[in-house]
Amino acid sequence: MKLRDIQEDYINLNPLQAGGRSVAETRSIMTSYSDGYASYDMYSGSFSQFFKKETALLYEQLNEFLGTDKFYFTHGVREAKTLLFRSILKAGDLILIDGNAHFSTGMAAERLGIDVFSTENSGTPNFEINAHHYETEIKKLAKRNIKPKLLVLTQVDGNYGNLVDIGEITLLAHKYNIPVLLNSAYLAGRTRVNLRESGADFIVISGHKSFGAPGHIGGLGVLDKWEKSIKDYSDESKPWDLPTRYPAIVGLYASLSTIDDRVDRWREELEKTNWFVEKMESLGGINLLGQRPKRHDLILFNTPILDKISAKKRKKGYFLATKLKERGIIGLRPGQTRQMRVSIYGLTWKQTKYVYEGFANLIKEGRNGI
Amino acid sequence: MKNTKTQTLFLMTETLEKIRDLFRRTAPYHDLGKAERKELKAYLETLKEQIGILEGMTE
Repeated sequence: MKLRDIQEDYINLNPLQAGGRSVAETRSIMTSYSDGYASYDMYSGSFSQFFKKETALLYEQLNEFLGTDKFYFTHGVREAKTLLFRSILKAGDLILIDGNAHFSTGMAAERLGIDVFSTENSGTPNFEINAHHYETEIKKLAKRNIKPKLLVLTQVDGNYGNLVDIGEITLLAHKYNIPVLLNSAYLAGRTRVNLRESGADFIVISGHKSFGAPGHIGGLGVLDKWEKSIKDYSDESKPWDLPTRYPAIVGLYASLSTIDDRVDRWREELEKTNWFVEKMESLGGINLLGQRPKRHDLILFNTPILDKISAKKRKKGYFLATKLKERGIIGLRPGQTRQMRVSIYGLTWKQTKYVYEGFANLIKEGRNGI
Repeated sequence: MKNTKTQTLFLMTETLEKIRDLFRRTAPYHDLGKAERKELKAYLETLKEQIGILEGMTE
């Protein structure tokens, strides 16, 4: 089998993979758990029973990090949402989700027969979500005598990388007495997110998206008052309800040993991201879509100049990814030149400058050829 | 009881993974600056010490 060396021999700009890059400490612990059933040493009984000291400590650490009272492991965020939806909702209920929500939110609801209603966003160029968007839809639904059973709020969306100010939205939800789910897949783990302080009721997180943990692992965190409502994994007669298996939990546990260093770097990550955006826009023909300044590392650019240059090339849209790969830069969707979604999270300043220079040279050469 | 040789083996893995992190931080060309060369040298020294412990088993 081919060894994976793309993180060592290339600079990877794929924003989906940026927050999942592991560190030496995590990988070396994982190596010692690579035997089949190795993790059996760490727990007793069924997959739903974790009695040993280490596991208790892991729950304690996660609850402390996320400001939750109870945490449930799942394979990922969509399974965490499913766990919540099937616990507190029933077929025919309606939930209100933000206009930037990932498709998996709707998917998790629809597979349970739950209706989904979505807010608008502020439109071009920022595409932001705020309390006004939610209130508009709540009032529209009220005219039809419908009250959403749950508000879903994507704290950072996977398209624009916008960070939503959640305070006003949770206040609004309290006003209408609707519980709130915070989807923090792209944020919690990169930095601290505290459910209790947020005013929301539930949080879903992703180990492989934002904690630098090997996949796939996510989870649902809840406050005390909801604990009895969650139908957890004790009923193992439903196979799809089983939680993620232990090796992934070991990976998340291992990643927590360096989480403080990771969180400490967040401010610098944003500084680097905003520097990169400014330099890229200065090249001309490249514009940021979404919030400005950036409050998250996921960047979406409109790139008409790259599209124009590609049109003159033999490889057309594939020219961009090919040329960048020759310079050791990967992670762009091959064939895509009109827009570009990237992240420089975890790169050094030197690497970030190298990436910018790569684009600058490519555009300079391309302009000469137009 | 912890076996020193086994623990050394695990620590070697960690040292190697730290070198891997250094490669990640210096991708794509691994052209090391002064600080990075010093860092790599320290890891290699640590590895030599760790190899020394295991070599003791062959005597």
